[in-house]
Amino acid sequence: MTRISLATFFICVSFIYAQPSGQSIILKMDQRLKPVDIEMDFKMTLRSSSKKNNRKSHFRLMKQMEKRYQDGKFKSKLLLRFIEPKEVKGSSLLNWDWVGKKNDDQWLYIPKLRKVKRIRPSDKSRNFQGSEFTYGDFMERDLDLDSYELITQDYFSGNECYVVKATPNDKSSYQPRIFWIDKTHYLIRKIEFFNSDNEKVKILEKLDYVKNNQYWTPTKKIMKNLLNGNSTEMEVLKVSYDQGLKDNIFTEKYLKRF
Amino acid sequence: MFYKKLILSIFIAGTVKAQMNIAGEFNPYVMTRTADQSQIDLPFRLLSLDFGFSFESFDLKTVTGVEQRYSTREHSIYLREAYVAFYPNWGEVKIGKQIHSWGAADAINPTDNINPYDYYYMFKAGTGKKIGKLSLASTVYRENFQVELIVSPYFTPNRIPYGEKDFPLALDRKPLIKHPVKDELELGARFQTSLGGGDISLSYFKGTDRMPSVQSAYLPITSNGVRNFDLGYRKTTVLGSDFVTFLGDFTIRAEGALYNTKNTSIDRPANTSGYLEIIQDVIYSQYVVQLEYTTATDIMVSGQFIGSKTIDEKNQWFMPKYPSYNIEFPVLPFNPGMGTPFAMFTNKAALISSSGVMMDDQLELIGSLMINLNESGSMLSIALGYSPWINWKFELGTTQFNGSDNPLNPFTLMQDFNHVRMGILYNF
Repeated sequence: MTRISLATFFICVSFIYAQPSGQSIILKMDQRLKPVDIEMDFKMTLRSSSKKNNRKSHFRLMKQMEKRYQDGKFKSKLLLRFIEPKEVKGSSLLNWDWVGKKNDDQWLYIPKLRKVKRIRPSDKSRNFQGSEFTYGDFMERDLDLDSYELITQDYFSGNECYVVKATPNDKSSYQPRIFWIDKTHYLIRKIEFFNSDNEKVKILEKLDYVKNNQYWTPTKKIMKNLLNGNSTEMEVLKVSYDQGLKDNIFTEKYLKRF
Repeated sequence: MFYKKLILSIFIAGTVKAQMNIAGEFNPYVMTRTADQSQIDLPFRLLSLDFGFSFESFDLKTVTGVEQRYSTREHSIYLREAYVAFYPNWGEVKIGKQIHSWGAADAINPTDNINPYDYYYMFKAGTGKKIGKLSLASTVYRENFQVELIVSPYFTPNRIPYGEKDFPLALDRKPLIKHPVKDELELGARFQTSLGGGDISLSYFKGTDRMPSVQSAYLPITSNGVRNFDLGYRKTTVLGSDFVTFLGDFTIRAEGALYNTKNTSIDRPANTSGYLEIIQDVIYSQYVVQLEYTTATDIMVSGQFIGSKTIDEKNQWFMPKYPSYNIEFPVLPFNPGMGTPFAMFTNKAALISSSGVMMDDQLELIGSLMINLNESGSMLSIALGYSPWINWKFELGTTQFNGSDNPLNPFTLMQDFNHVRMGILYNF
């Protein structure tokens, strides 16, 4: 009788204190309601590690439009457009993320050339326009491309978080990352990026979230480069969801129209 | 009349609460000759103003240029572009004076022949060196392909410097065009599709040469040894193709065009004694192959191989008064009247370019080296842009030509143009 009671007790305790797996946390995070389309104006402020070069005027104003597809040929389409500085106003990037295709299609429009240039799609690891963000940071990565492991629990910015390590299944294209996902809303609060030598190279902190209708928006993100000390702050100025953005926005025709 | 219509359109657009767009650049600069530090006195574009309205599926766009010359303090204001664009679901329609861009390669595009070139700005990037052309353009976009059709009712030649002592390749005087263009209509079509992760396109263009050529002559040679050549413009048909593809970390852009140029029927003088016409039918090609690589630090390096070749040339002088006579008259060297301006420097060259930014994007460095692969000659260009404040840039650059002992080598002729350029660029 005592044995049965003990076994029952341990089973109950293990259920109560059981840790969810890294995979289940990521899946739960991914199951959060997402908008079909987003239109967002944001400001990127680039800060140098050198105090001498630390100037607030070094910023870019951009507009981002993104549409996600539930079925069909595409996973998502994205359009990024420069508003400031004026020298590059109208320069735009169009990305088509296909279902079942390894590489996306990417085009860049440069107003001074009046030309849409197809660009190499595998440049997602490259820095985005001199910032510490990469092109890949603007695009979603498939969950099944990584393996997830819950490594610990921690507090970040006052939020109790699961700390989950994502290790790419194909190590050639992407490096490991560690996510801080808050336990209450399953929102990413922080990401640490590693290089192939397992050296921590960058930290992304999502400091503020605002709930717009049923969607959470990170209104302020800071990407810190630990190797050169530079950082980039991304602040959302305006955001709209589910406006019914038409497919023809994500075309070469619209890319040229600004 | 045109300006009145334009102002009226702007007013109407304004009253219906269209979105107004104003942008532009103010770019004063000086060019100092390397040899003797004297100032190069050529007109330059001091101000470029983009002004337009957008209303639902319509855009009205204008680009105005202000050209200045320091020595005379003369300036001219001219409309570089003014067009209305309509964007239906299936594509776009544009009508008015506009600049088109065809081709996959950077800066040197043999397939891009719709607009004439402004030789005063031949070293400018992008649309800066082109002249707007009155045309109707329509593009149909589909997911995997696009078709563009362009019709232009009027002929516009290249703008060539003449009487400019500071531009070594300038003509002494404005050429007298004895045979004006009769049929000015020009047509262009371009089909582009995606293929294996890249793009490929085919294009066709039929129009009038942008540079004049000899159409007729008079016998005998004048007392001072100068032949009386009369100039006109040939008709040229261009078949072009370009593609872009990716090979590992490299991007390959290639472009080629096959030109067939023929002289057209011209008005003969009443008295045809000693009058000769040339029957010319020439096939030539221009091509560019570009290999591009971007480093992890965002430095872009590209190499281009540029070439042009005369494939078939038929030149026959013909005397209308005595059509059966076989005329022995010297054949003039063939000069293409259409195609990329760089073909006038050499018919085989390598161009290596690199650009990058540093100091938090404050400092931009651009360098290019063109090497003549036919005979000795090179052009080195280095530009540095420093941007201490947003939308402001201080520019410093140099262009150095290096020729050979041959005084007729274009690179030798251009040596006198070697200069240092300093300027300020303000974008608004």
